[in-house]
Amino acid sequence: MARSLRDTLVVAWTIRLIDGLLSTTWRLRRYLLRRLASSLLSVCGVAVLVFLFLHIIPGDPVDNLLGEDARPQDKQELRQCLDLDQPLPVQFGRFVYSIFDGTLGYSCPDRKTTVASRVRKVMPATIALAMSAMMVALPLALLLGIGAALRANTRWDALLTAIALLGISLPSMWLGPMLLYLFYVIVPILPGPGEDTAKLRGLVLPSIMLGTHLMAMLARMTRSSMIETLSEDYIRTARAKGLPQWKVVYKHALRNALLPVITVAGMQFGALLAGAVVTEKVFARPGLGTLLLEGIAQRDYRVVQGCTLVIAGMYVAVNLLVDVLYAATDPRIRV
Amino acid sequence: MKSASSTPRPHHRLRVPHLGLGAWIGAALCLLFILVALVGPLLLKRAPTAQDLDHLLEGPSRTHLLGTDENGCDLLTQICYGARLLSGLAAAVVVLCLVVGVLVGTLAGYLGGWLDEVTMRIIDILLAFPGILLNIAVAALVPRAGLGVLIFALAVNGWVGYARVARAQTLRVREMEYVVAARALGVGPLRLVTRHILPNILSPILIQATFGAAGVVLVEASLSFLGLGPPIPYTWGALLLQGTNYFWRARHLLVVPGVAIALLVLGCNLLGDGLRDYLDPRGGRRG
Repeated sequence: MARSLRDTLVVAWTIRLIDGLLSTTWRLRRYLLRRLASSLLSVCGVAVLVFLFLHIIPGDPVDNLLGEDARPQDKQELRQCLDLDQPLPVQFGRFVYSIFDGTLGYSCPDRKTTVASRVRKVMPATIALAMSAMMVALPLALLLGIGAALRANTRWDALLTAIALLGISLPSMWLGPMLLYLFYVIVPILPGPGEDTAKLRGLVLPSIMLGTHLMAMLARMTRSSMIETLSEDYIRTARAKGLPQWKVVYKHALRNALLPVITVAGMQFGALLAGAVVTEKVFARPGLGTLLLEGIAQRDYRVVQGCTLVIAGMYVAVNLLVDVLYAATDPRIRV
Repeated sequence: MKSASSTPRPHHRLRVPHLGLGAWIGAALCLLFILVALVGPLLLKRAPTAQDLDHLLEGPSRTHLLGTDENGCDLLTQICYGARLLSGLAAAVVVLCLVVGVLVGTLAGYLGGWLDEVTMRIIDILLAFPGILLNIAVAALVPRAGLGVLIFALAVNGWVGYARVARAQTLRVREMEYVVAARALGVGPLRLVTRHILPNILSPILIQATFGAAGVVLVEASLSFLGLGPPIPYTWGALLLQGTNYFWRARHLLVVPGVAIALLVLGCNLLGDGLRDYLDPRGGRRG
């Protein structure tokens, strides 16, 4: 049921997107192509950089990973497993190959599982977390931002702005335990760290922790964007022709003011994926971040490489998608 | 009689230079931090790692104003020494990033051509990583974590923000008459950039630096929290990690560093907001 709904949504959006693209002008199409090319270039750059991670850090990578006084046969084994006994171009070739055959390489040094299979296993948890954080952040941000903009330069505005400012200033790894203390210890209504991680209940606190920073950021953006829009000529026109305040705000101002906010929200989705590293640690949740930290703790270089690559790749893809949708839907974009 | 500030003024006239209340609070918080960092360690008699084994994991008391941790180290002392460390770290990262970023950004913006193209591609690639991820990856791969590593990890992508601001601003002023005039007088590119362009693009860069400092504090806290920071037990991030580990037994251990970090970041943000409102009122909106 949920699956068919998702499929329908995907199909509907794809059709809409293709429809939008087909009805574009050649200039817009050229812009989109250029945007696509630059995204691909970014992805290639990310791949090269991730590959070079091991080599740009001074010192022998194997010594770095295992420590200098590791047993020689361990070192040899790791060296072979990481292809470090091969010349650099061969290493790079194998790395690129491992991206395209979808394995992202085998975990070193035991070679038992592919990195991709481990990533795939934990990916849904992280995506669910990021999405629910977005669902916490965006509505609240709009509420705060619009409220503050409508009452600009009053006490309400000051209060809402202060809340937003606090939101960008609180370190999330402090907020998380505090939330746990409130809703797990004092008022035990929500599950604690490591409990119910697959259920919706278990998502509540982590998404608040992850979403707060973004919420505050978007609220500030909404406020300034809304204030700017409300001072535009067409708003004055709308007011002058006698439209009621709510109609001016919701029909005329909001649509224009929200466009940049939604765009930034989309682009910050990738940042949420990265921020999940800390959140997952605080709440002992499985996910990409936990996998990354495991990889770091076990000195499993390929896992670090794979997680970084996957998160950065998704980040680029989401950014591209947002840009394309933006260009395809907003006739004012002339590039 | 109306006071001068409430009379409506035409927009184009020079405003009376005043920072808002927020900016003053922000400046006060930043100043307080610097004061704690500079003077704090001098006033305290204990070393940050000195152990008081009679008082383990104790809340605030007269001998230990902010309480002690599981080794009996005084939290106030640790916070002060941590502040000293953090101020040095933040200054180092901000200065490094600022110098590199501004140099790259102004040169790319002024000279244009392939240099600009290459710079922008590099920036694109660095921006393709969600910031903290790159910091984590760099910090994780280095064998022995230390302050230098932390600075490097933070600077790897930290300069990008400054470079982008500097480039955009350089593009803005490059064709302005005074620059064209200076060029017509035969001023060389280096002198033109340093003497004519740089002073005129400095304010957005300063604003960027204020927000950048806040970012450094938060990222340091994250990295240390993930166990990737320098092996110093009293960086603010390490204190936060320790606080999380002992949270169920001693809440002050988490509350104190958390509040300290929040106040400092709040101060930087308030100051940055205030400076932006004052220096370029119609500057780009950012979160």
